[in-house]
Amino acid sequence: MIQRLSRWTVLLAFLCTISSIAGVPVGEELRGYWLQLHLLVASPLAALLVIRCWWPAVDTTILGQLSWWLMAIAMGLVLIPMLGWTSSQNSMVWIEGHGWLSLIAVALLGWSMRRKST
Amino acid sequence: MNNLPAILFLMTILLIGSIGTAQDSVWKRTDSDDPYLHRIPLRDSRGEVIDPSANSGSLPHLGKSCAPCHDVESASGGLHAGQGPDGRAGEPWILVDPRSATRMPLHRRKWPGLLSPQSMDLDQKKWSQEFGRHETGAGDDSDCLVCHLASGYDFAKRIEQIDSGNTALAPFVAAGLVDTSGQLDPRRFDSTAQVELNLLGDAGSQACLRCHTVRDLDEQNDRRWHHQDDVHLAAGLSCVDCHRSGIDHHMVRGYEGEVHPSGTDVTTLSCRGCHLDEDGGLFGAPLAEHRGLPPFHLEEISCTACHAGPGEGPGEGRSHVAQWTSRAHRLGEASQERLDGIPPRIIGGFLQRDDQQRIAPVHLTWPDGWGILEANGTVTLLTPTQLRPLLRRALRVRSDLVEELSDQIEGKSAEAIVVKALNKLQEPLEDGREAILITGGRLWKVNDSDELEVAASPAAEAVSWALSHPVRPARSALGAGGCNDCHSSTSSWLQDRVGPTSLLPLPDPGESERSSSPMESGIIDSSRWKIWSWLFLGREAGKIYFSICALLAISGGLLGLWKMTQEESR
Repeated sequence: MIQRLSRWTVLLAFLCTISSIAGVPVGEELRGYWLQLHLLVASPLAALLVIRCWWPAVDTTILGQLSWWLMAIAMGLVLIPMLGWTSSQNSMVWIEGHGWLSLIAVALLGWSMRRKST
Repeated sequence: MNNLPAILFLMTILLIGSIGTAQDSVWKRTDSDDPYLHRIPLRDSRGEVIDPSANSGSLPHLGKSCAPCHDVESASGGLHAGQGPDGRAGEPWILVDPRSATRMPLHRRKWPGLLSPQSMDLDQKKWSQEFGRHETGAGDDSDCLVCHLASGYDFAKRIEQIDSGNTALAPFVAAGLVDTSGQLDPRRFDSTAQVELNLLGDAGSQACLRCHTVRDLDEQNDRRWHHQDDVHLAAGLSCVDCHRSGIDHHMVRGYEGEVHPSGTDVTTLSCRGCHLDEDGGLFGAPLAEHRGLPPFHLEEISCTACHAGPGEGPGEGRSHVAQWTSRAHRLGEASQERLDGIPPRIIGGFLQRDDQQRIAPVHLTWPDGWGILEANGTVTLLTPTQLRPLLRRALRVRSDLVEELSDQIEGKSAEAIVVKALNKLQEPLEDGREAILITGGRLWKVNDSDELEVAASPAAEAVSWALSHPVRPARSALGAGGCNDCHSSTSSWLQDRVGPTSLLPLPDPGESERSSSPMESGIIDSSRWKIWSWLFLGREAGKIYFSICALLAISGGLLGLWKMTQEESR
């Protein structure tokens, strides 16, 4: 069961990355249909991330666990502008932080999976 | 001797420089922040001082009276007097002629959709008679007192004088220096034949509001109890604190991206420059934080979309209201005939994309009038002078076409009457040219079966100009009540339809033909908007959900990492 959820988490994390490409250029904010899609994918991913972080799969490496944890931190970063804890103009710093940290997390996840498969 | 050319060159430079200095010193200045008390003689058109006791019959001349101390030539020009670049579209003048039912927006500046004064056969004299009541004038006709006399200026008297063609004396009559027959009032002069005038560079916002008042005709809220003035005025600022200028009267208009003719950087005098730029903050203006607002809103929406225009406070959303403006509805003139429905119809608060592609509120008005559809598809409007005899003969109209015909038709369609008028206008026209009526946002003409035919035409489309006042503070702005002020199915600002009204009851082209909403006019992607409205139903719950998930995931991940490092170390 955990393994299956783990696969779904990886898939959703991948979809989240894909749907955020429109916001990758620095200073460009994800918006419109891409943002809607990103939120749609991120909603179940958030719950799966909790499961993944609390019940790590048996074969998880430290690198893998670190990447999920970074993804959770990234989710926390985006909540700062969302909850109105910063000004609109400073929001971009947090949103970009969310984006870059998520990308690093996904990259680490890919690297850990590659290491595991070899 | 070899240095002679260089010496001559230097001497020329010094001579030019000294002329410049000398010219600067022509104009008297106190260089004090304390306003100068103007106790001055009045001068006639030759610049001679007028002695009120001499009964010379000389009439005072404003330019000559101010010229000894001020650069009147520069002051009577500038953006405010119609010079300089056209810039963003502003409020048009509207030619209203009840006898021909003409209501045509026009302007000397080349702004979209507006006629030129020449096309309506308005030379300088006719223009002054028609619109001078709410215009400071330019050149020799400039009225300095209307803006700079801080007290004792009777604006209604000014309107009376200009309506009666007495443009030159209007400022003096309004200031109470001269009576309507041109006689100087000796009580205003002291023993040295000087008058005391409370003239100020900034005579307060009331001086500007004489010509720039915009009044909402809100049927639901009685203005006496519900009006909320511009937050800047309420905070003690004056119009010219933002709309600044030098003696050249190139008045800063205050919109973003404005290029000032003087070359001065006026960025800080726009909303964004003052409230969003770290270098702004004039008068300690608060730096707007917009907490919780996704930053792209500031790119997509103008400040005025949320902070200006009709609406009382948070949660009320944005609405459109019919408005009166000083220029279009002769505000400032005491009248018992200024009823809510009087033309021209101006709607304030409609949203459009501005010249920077931001969503911004505008005023709208629609043209009404008669004209000729040329063979090449262009429209030539007929002037009231051309129309009056033709319409009088065809329709027996004497003073007010709409009122008199409405009485005749008693609520029925005016199609037969309009066909009759158009046929009369058609008589002198050559083949290929068709008489037309523009009203209700459409173009009407007579077809071969002698029936009215309706068509869309750019000449009948609404004319718009930016709405920027009154400025609403953060607590009263759209969005102060949360995202749902805009993002909800009950928020009507994108869906409320606005359209023109027809002069006379004509065959109804249908609701969708008559009016449109900001959504239909394509300012945003409507399907994307609907999805957002749906998503925003769960926004607050979403915030809680994501917060809990983030908290749990971070703590769980941290715990997992700690356990793993512990196991690794074993």
